[in-house]
Amino acid sequence: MSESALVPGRRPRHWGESPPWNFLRRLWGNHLAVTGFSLVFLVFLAAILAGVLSSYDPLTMVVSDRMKSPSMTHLMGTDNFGRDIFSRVLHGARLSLEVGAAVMLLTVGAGILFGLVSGYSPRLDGPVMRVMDAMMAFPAILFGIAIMAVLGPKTVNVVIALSVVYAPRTVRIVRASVLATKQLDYVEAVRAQAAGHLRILFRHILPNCLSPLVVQATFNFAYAVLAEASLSFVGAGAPPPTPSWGNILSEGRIYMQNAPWITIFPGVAIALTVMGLNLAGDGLRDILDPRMKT
Amino acid sequence: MARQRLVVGTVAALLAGVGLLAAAGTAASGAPVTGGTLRVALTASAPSLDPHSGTHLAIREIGMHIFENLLAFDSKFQVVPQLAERWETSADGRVYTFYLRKGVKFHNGREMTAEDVKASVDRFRTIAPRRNELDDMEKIEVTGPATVRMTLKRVNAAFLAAIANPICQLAILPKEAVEGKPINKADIVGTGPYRFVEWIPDRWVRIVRFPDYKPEGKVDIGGLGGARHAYADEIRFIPVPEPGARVAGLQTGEYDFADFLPTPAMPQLTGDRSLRVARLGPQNYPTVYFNHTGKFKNLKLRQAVQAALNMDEIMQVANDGDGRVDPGFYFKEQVWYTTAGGKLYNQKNPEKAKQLLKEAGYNGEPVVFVTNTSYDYMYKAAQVIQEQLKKVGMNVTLGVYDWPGSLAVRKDMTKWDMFTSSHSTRFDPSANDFYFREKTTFFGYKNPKMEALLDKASATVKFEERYKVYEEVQKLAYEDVALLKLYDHYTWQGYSAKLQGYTPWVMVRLWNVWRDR
Amino acid sequence: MTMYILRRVFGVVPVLILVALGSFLLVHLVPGDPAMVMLGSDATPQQIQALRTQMGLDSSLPEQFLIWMRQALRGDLGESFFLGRPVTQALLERLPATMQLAMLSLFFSLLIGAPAGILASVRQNSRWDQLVMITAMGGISIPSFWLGLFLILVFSVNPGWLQNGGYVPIWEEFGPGLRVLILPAISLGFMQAALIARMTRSSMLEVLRQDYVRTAKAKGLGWWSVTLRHALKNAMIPVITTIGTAFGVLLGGAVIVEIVFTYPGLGRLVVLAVQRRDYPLVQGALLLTSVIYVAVNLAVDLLYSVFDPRIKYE
Repeated sequence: MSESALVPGRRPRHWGESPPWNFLRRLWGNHLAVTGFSLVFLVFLAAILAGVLSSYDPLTMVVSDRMKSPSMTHLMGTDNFGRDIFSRVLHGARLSLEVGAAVMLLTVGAGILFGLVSGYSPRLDGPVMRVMDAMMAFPAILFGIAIMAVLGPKTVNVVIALSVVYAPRTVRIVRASVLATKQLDYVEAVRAQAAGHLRILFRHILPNCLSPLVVQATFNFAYAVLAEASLSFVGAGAPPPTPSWGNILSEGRIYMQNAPWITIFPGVAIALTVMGLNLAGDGLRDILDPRMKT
Repeated sequence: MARQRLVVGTVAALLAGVGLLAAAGTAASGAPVTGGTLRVALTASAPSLDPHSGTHLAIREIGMHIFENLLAFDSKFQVVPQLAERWETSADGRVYTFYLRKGVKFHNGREMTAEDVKASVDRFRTIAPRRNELDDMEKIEVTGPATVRMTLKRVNAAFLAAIANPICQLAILPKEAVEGKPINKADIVGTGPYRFVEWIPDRWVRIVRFPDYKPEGKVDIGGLGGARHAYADEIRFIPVPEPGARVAGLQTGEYDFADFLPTPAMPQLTGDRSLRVARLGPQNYPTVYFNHTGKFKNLKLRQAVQAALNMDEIMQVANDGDGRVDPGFYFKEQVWYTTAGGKLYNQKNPEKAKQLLKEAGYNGEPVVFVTNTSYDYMYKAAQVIQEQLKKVGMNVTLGVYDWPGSLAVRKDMTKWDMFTSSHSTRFDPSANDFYFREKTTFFGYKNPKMEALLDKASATVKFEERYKVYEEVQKLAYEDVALLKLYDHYTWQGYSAKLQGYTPWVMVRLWNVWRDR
Repeated sequence: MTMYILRRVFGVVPVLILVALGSFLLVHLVPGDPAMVMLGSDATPQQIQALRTQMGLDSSLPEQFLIWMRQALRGDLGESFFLGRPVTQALLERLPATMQLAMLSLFFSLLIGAPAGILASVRQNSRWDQLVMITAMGGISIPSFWLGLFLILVFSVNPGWLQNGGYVPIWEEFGPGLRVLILPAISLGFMQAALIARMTRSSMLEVLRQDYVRTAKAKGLGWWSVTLRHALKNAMIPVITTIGTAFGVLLGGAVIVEIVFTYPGLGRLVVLAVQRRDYPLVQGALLLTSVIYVAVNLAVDLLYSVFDPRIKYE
């Protein structure tokens, strides 16, 4: 982040110099970020306009039209139930983005909560980090499958499961920033002034955590989209007939020889979305904290 | 659409060809050759090899090679001798005396005696899920080293069928292998043509030829009885749940035999000269159960669902068109086949359904339809049904679980309204009785008229009369919408062209089968 | 130094306890009763109850946990409900398969990823760099199961060469064993290779910019000597530290790949066990994989600390 946050007292001269605007300007100049966010925006548009862009309902089955290859009437063909795939892919975008965004927010929240606490208080640091280590020791997808088995097949539960899986690494990132910031001279100084803990946390420490947090959040979004697809693929994700890219892929798997379009399009959709998020994350990292490793 | 026609068309053309091929194949090309290992890819892994422990298909597909029963079914579904060489019924029809074959050896070397039979039957009656079929048995006595007498409380026309039923086999094991052994813990020792060697779960089950096996009679009468010879040295049953992997394994020669092949892959396999395919058909029929204690207590509501369903569509989607739309609870190929009540089957009448919904007083209440992902066709059928019901205005939500999860939900009568399942080939119509009897049904069905009919059937021994009673049963089942049958489900098996002597029938049977050099 | 090692090793214990607790709780919270699954839907409530008692499902949760933990510490993870054999045995039978897959994937990802990253960093902004970066970007965005499906489709045209299925351990038969492993390992390792490539590249770039490198170059030392000896050694440190995590990721990602390729590994076993409510097996498997992950990380950490002088004197 620009230095103004670290050096108290130096105010920007006019809004054009303010940190948010600086940030946006640099963002715009960064090719990765632009490409990434554009891709994500495209997917976002597709999701929002799903009803408009496709004249078919993603759930309606016209059995006599099943397994049709892509054509002018069905841009991406139909699946084995006779449902239009283009429409299902678009609605699948909605699900992926919803889940991804929700997971991102929850993990960021958890990250801030536990990361701040853990980094700031040496007493709580031990236990919190042990729990995080334990959570990270479970293989991600297995953990997700097990949680879904406990909670039951609902989209909300997918969000919960994935948030639990990806929270620990976010907590770690925030904690690392807190530890680094805590040692800075000026923070020591502020503490010496006996300022309240909360004030220190929120005014001085938290802003410094934002850069790596924002980057991690973007990557968490990407992980969530991939993980949701994986869970749906093995049947532990959102329940049918909800269109999910993973569901469509797994349903189409058996027809790969005769109807490859069922598996191709959702796969491409996943790749594009995740790529966009990764590019955006890369770009953000370039701007915010070039010293951060992958 | 063209592609789908191609698949179905090829499949149809195959039927003719397969008929010829099967005939050619079984018109034995040369004398049997002993030796070799057969590698068999099965869809399901057996939860246990204890023959009394469950009704799961994999248990008996493997178990049939290891164990034998007193009686068996032949290819015409008639009861024939197996371990009992003959039997006598008393004049009043309540006492059955079984005369055991002599010199039959168990895999542990000991000769089978009547004591072993009694021990096995006793254990079966304690732990087997199907034990209620023997409820009419008052006592079982050993009346000689090779005779067993069973006395019934009353005449039961289905008694012999219950003894011979391969579903949850009433296998005869040595006394020491079953005495005091809880479920799943019996020693895997039988009298069959193959004996058990090892089981590495999810890897394979290995059985090897039992040299001291004594076949029943001299003739292969098909089905599960007659002279069964072990030609292959060893058979390996390998669980391969993914259909694509079974197909691929057949093509690479990794498996000699694979069951439940997906219809879309069939044209590709039929073109392969190194393979043969067999259509097992039909193998089962998927069903939908109603929870008669909940909102479906209302007959009109059930009738609405019955009227709305389009079985052609369901069959098209669930099994890629590889099925037969037919109302019978038994297949056309079986002697018990009847179309009674068929007018109410496959009505595909949304207007009538909507009308019935109004009459039922349905107001958009949510209907919970429980299905499972373990059986692909059930899952697909459920989704199609949900759509069809939505179109007539029913608010149906799917509860999707794996099979054990769905069973757990089904136990709780407050948690479901409809449930998908399937009935595998029935060997005797009495097999369906327990669904309709108040004491044994698990979906709350209660109909005194039905109970009376079933009692009558149980007491009617003569085939023609019994057949008529079961016709009434089926008709009533349709009129009262006790449950719904969806369609006849065909499955495909594939095997190496080197395999000779294989006749497809109901389940995987690898005795009397050999592999050419 | 020894203190450091001891501290690290003991620090792992609470984590393992938490892992055990987590595995136990998670599994027992899953609805559905193994007794019912085993007996089938036609069983009477009495029978189910009897079986439950036999399975030890009757006692309270804390009791069950303590019993399980006590046994686990002795290496006895109980008996699988469905396989009828000790869990430890069942897991150890399948573990080698998954380990082979994870190791081959790791090997593949290092073999491809590291050189690619180095190449990209050394020829920064050239066509090579862009090629590597674009491919790597694709690698971290493409789901492994999709890649797997695609590979199966492509190679199924010629089924002779790369078999789908037919597992045999490579120490029994190297050739056939490897053949079965190749496609799954590529599917699994591709994403990891991409990550390693990216990380290596940025790490190398970082190091190459440092003054001491420029000094070495200015001193006229051979270009290769500079790159390989100085830069590489330092650049690889962060990469090596993530091997532990990478291994964990691969162990986890193996689940999906095993399902796609019907590879008889731990992952598939566990998914099946979850479906069947085979409590001891799922618990044991979660515990085992987590313990392996913790152990590998610990080992990597310790190894790393041996080489990093900054830590020696802690």
